[in-house]
Amino acid sequence: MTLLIIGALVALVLRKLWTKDGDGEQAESQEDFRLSLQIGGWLLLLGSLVYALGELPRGGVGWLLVPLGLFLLLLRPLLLVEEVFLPRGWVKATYRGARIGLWASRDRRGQALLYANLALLRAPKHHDPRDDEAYLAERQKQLPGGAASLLAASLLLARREGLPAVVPLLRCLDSVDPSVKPAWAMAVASELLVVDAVRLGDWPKVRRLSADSPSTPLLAFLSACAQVFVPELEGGQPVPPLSRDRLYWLWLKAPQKQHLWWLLEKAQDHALGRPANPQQKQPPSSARSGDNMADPPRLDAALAALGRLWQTDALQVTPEQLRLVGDKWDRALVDKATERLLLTRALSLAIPGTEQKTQQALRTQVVATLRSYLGQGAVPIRKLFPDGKLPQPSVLAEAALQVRAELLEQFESATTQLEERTTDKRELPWLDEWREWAQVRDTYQRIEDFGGPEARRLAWTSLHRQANNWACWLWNARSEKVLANAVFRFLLREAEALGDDRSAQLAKKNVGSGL
Amino acid sequence: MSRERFLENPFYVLGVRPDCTRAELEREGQKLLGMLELGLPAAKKYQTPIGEAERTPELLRVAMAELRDPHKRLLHEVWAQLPAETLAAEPNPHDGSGAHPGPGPWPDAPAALGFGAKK
Repeated sequence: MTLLIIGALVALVLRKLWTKDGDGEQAESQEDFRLSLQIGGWLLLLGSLVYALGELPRGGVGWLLVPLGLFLLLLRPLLLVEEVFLPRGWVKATYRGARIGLWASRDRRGQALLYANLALLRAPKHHDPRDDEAYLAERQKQLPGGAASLLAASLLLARREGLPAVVPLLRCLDSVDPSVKPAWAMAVASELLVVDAVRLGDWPKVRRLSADSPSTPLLAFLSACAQVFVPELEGGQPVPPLSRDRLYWLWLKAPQKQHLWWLLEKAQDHALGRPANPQQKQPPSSARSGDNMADPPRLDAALAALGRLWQTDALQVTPEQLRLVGDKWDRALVDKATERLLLTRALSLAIPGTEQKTQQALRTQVVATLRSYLGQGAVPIRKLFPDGKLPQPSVLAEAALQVRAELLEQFESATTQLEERTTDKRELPWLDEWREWAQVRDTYQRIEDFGGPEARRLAWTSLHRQANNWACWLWNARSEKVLANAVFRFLLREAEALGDDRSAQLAKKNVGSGL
Repeated sequence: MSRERFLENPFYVLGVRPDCTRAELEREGQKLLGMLELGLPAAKKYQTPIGEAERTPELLRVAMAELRDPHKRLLHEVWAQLPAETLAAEPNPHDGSGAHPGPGPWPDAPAALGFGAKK
């Protein structure tokens, strides 16, 4: 009877607590209150255990169920959710179960919605997801905006638009305040980013990302595969080779094993027959393909080099390949034989005097082609021109400069849009605000990756003022504190990295305002 | 990626060399149009330096129209200097010489690993 009364009291307190969920102003006091509740729960467990043990000699075995239930609830509150509801794709049960199980957590709704979204992704193929999607979309509108909420919304978006659409959003999580970043949710975010790198076949990125991520069975396996495929990262130390048994063991622990079997086989084969010396360079393509053997016209060699580039997947193109194509075209475009060909053909077609114009058009088309490869952002300028000098005239250098200018222009347009919206006080739903920020950050990152520190500094000048004003508006007028704080943190990081003391001081002050 | 410069080059579409005469072009174009209308399999595909492509009546008409303009023809001639045979492939980019070592792209990874809509 005593336990029943205590239980009823706890239930009443919990009810009061749940109705307060989402009220950010009392977050700190709630945190203390939740801790007190947890301690209370453990004391209740201890008391009921003593009582149950006391009842045992009198044959009251059933009383043992009370401490046992309490123990499970306190130790693994999400046991049912994680082991039963989620793997079976029971969306509504997962959401409700997680909300109850996460009673002591911050951003409870966001985390529950994240669990529910994961359940939706694991739902069986024959299941009609429309009802569940509508259910989740309805709940998404009420989210408080923490990292778990953002991740939950990203998963729903990934389902509709594909994983690449949400990768910029996921990257923004790195500057979110740690107090609204549950570790398990961050592990899910890391898994998403690593899976996206696997999708692209970018194993060096898989290695880099998984090295900085929390360890999960999936990440451990993918990281091990990446270590096998990329034993040595640029500027890093080589890792000792992994044994086949170790790979097999990690595969056994990983989820979705049936889909990872082929990868295990590849990694094991690679571990066995790894190229003797990864440093050993392949001979240049021209030597391999025999382009120069019979010394064909330079135009033919340039066309063949470009043709081979077109046969290669854009993300697999190497800087050497691009340099080779650029060199061959630079030579072909000033070659006497090309001039002669254009001259004679122009005469045959009765359009004398147009050869110069055609040559220029040809050059423009080659530059456009190279630009489309560079626009993917996979090959930075520093790798294209390792000596740091852009040769002129060069089709590759022209393409690189065009791409850099395009990226900067795109970035400026995005930041101007932010500024205009701030001035006009045009509000967007919270997820769209995040998406806009993610787009700005993504372009900024692409500029940095492609153009290096010089381009980063150029972009910074148009970023800090607009982004700061926008974030202040979000903070003051919109109460979008998590996003505003994430923007301030990012600005602080950048200001410090670029040595902009004045902006750093301002950003530090804004970050200090908390959530 | 501008692969169309090879894939849709009028000379490859028509299966003629760049120095052929205007009459040859027209004759070849009409012949191929007729063959396509009869559904002859020999006319359905054509070869380019970066692989085989599908020939359609629309593509043929566009190719013939492009080559009637001598200025455009001159530029197309430059792009069609290579014979219509598939270029010898580069070594497998996954053998360590590509940009990324290890297995290549795996487009179905998100769905297979539980992070995308199942197909």
